[in-house]
Amino acid sequence: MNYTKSIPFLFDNYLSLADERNDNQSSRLNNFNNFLLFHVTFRSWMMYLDNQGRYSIIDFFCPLILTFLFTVFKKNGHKCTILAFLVYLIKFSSVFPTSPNHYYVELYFLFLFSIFNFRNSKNETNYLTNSLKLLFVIILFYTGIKKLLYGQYFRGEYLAYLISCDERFSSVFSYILSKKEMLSIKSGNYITGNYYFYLISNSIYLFEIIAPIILFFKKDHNYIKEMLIIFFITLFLISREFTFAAIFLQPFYLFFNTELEKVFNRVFMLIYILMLLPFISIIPMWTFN
Amino acid sequence: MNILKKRIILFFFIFQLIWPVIHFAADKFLDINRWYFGGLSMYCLPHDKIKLTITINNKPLEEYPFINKSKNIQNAIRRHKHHYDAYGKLLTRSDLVALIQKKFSSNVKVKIVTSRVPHVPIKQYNMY
Repeated sequence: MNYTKSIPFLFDNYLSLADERNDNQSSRLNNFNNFLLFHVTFRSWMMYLDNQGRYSIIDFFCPLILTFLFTVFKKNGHKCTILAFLVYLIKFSSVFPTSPNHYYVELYFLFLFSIFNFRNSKNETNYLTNSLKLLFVIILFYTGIKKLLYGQYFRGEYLAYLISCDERFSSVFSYILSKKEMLSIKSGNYITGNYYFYLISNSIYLFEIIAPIILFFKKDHNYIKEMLIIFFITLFLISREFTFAAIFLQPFYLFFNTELEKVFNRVFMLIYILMLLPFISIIPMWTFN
Repeated sequence: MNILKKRIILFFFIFQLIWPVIHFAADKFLDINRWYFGGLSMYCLPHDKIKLTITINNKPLEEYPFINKSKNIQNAIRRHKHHYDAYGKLLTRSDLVALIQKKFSSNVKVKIVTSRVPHVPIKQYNMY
C-alpha cells in the first residue's frame, strides 16, 4: 500500500512548504545541521558539568562522542548526524519517560537530519525543509492547544504561579501588576482580577494556535512571520530559555528568504560560551540562577 | 527518493499529530506524571501543586518550616534539577527532614506525605 498517496493531505498539497526559488536551501540546512550538532554537544557538556559528580557512564561518554562527531562533521556530515542521533537516542532512552522536554525537540531534529541526506539531491533537500517547517508548526500549534485544554491561562493562573515562584517572571510582570497584586500572588492567590494580565495570558495561547495555522496555509504571509519574531524575542527574553530558543528557532528561520540564522546563531553561540564560563570558574556559579 | 523514507516520515508526523492523545493517555491511564512525561509542549503545562503533610511524632505540624532560597538552596536546585522529586526545585526529602529536625529536635520522627493537587489554584504551602 502506498501510504504517501493515500494521505495526500500531508504529502502532496500541504507539505509543499519548501521555497524552491531558493538556491541556498542546501547551505542553510548545512548551517542548521552544524548548529544542531554544536547545540547537542554543548547541552551534553552542560548536563555533565551540572550533575556535579552524579553521572552515569552515558552522561560521561555522550559529550565526548558528540564533541568528536562535531569536530569531524565537515568531512562526513550525514554519517556524523546519524551517529549523533543514535548517541542522543541512547541518552534520551536512559532517562525515559522522565526525559527533559528539550530532548524531544533535539532528538526529532536529529532524526529528520538522519533520515534525509540533503547533500544527495534537491528532492531530499525539499523534503527535509518541509519536514522541519511542519514540525515547527506542529510544536507551536500544540503548545497553544495544551494551554487551552488545561485551562490554566484563562484567568492567568499559570503566569501568576510562575510569578510567585520565579524571579524571571516576577521582575517583568511587576510593571503590569500593582504591588498589592504581586503580594497577593506571592501569598498563593493566583486570581488577580487584573484585566491587562488576563489579556496577556489569553493572547499567548490564541496567538500560538492562530499563527502556525496561518503560517502553514500561507507560507508567504510576512505579517505573521514578523509578529512571530516579536513574540519569540519577547517570550525568550522573559523566560531566559536561551538554549531552547537557539534550537527551536532554527526551522523558523527557514520560512524567511533572508538568512536570519547567520545573525541569531552568532548571538546564541556567544550566550552559550557565557553559560559555560561559570563551570570553568571564570565567573561565579550563581550568575545564571 | 526512497519510498521507505517517505513512509518513515509519514508515520513520524502521524505520531506527532496524535502525540497529545498519547500524552493524555499516559497521564490518565498509566499514572505517568505529565510534568515528567513532557515532550513537545511541556512548558505550557503547570507544575502540579504538591500538598505536604508533615507529622512529627504522629502529630501534624501546624507551622511549616520557612524555606529560604539561599545560595546553598540554589546549588541544591542545580544538583537535583534533572532528578526532581516531590519537592522539586527547593529541597530533597532528606534535606527537608534534616531541616525539620534542626528546627525541632534530632530525635523527632518525621513523616512526610506528599500528594498531587492538580490544577487547583488555591492557597497552599507548595513546594515545587
